[in-house]
Amino acid sequence: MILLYLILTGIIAGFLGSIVGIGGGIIIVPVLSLFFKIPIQNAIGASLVAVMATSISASRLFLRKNTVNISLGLKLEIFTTAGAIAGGILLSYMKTEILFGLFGALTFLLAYFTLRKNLFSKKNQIKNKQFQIVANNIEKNERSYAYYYDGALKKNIGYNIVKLPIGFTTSFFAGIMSGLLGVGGGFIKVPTMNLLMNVPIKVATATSNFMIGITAVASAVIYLSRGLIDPFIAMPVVLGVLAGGTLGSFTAYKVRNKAIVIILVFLFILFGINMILKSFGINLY
Amino acid sequence: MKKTSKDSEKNEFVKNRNAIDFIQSERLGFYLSRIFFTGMVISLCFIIAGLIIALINGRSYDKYLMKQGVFYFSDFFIGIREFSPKSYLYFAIIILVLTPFSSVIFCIFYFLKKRQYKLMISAIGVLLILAISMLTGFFKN
Repeated sequence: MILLYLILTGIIAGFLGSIVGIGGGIIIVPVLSLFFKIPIQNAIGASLVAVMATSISASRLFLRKNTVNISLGLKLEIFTTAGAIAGGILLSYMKTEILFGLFGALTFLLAYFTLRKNLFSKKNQIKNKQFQIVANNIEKNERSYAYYYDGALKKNIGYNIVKLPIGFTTSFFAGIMSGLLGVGGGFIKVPTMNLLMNVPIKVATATSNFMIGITAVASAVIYLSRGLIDPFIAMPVVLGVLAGGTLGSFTAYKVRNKAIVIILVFLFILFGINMILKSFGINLY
Repeated sequence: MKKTSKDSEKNEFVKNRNAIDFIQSERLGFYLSRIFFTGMVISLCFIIAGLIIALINGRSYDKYLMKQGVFYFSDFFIGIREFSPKSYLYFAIIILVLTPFSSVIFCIFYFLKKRQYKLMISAIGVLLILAISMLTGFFKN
C-alpha cells in the first residue's frame, strides 16, 4: 500500500508543479517527512532524485526546440554546482531541527513567489513586451547575442544578456539550496535571469530546467555516498512525478490556474507552519 | 572621439563573438535532447523492473524501506545478476546521475570540434566541479 501512496505523492507533486511551474521538491519533502515520518535527510535525498528526473524529462523538450541557452547555462552552472557541493557538505553538520526550520521558511518564500508569478505577473508582461520590441529591432540590425523561436508569436525573439556577475552570485545560492534542501532552485534562477539579466521568461525557464539536472547530480552523488537516498522511497516518487508532470503539461491549459495556485499556496503555508513548529519540537499529528 | 569609436568596435567584436558562441551551441541542443531521452528511457525501464521484482518477491514493500545503509558499488553488480530489486533501483539512479554528467562531457567534445574554446572551458569547469562532488562522496564512503 505504501508503494501506491509514494507513487501518488509523486503524481500530485508532478501535476501541481508542472501547472504552476515549480519543481516537485517543495511538495515531496514536507509530505514524506511530515506524513510518512521519513527522516528529513532521506526525504531531501528522494526529492533530489525526483528533481533530477523531472529536469531531464522537461529539458529534453526545451533542448529540442532550442529554447535553452546552453552557453549561458554552462557558465552559470559552474557556480551552481559549486554551491550544490557546499550545500551537500553543509547538510552533514546541520541539525534536523534547523533543516525543518529552513525548509519551513523556504515554503513561505515559495508561497510568495508562486502568488507573484501566477497572479501578480504584471512586471513579467511588461518585460515580455520589451522583448517583442527588441525582436522587431533585431530583424533590422541583427545586434542580438541570442534568440529563440517563440511558437506563440511565430517569430524569432532576440535578447542581450546583461549583468552576468549577478547571475553567478544567485546561481551559487540556488546551488546551496539544492544541495541543502533538495529543491531545484528555479524560483531563484528564473526571476534573476528574467528580471535582472534580460533573458526572456521562456528561455530563463528552459535554461534553469537544464541547469537543475546537472546541479542535482552534484548533490545526489554526495547523498548517495552517505546512504541518504533510499531507492525504495525515491524511485516510486520519481515514477509518480514523471507521470504527474506529463499529465500536468497536457492539462495545464484546460484547468483553472488561479484555483490551483490558491490551493498550492495554502498547502505551502500549511507545510511551512508544520515544519517550523517541528523545528521547535512541536508535532501537530 | 577616436577612443570611443575604438571602444565601440571592441564592443561590437565582443557581441559578435557571443553571437557566434550562441549559434554554435544551437545544434548541440538536438544532440543533448537525444542523450536525455536515452537516459530517461533506460532509467525508467530499470525503475519499473526493480519495482516489479520487489512486488513479485512476495515480501511486503514496507520491509524494504529505510534498510539501505551506505551504498557500495561492489554489492551493486552482484545484485543485478541476482535480480535484487535494490540493485535495479540503484542502477536507475546511477543512469539518472550519468545522463546530465555525460551531456557535459558531450558538450566538451562538441565545443572542441567546433573550436569554441571559451565554451569548452565553461563545460570543463562544470565537469571538474562534478568530479569533485564524486570524489567527496567516494572519500566519505
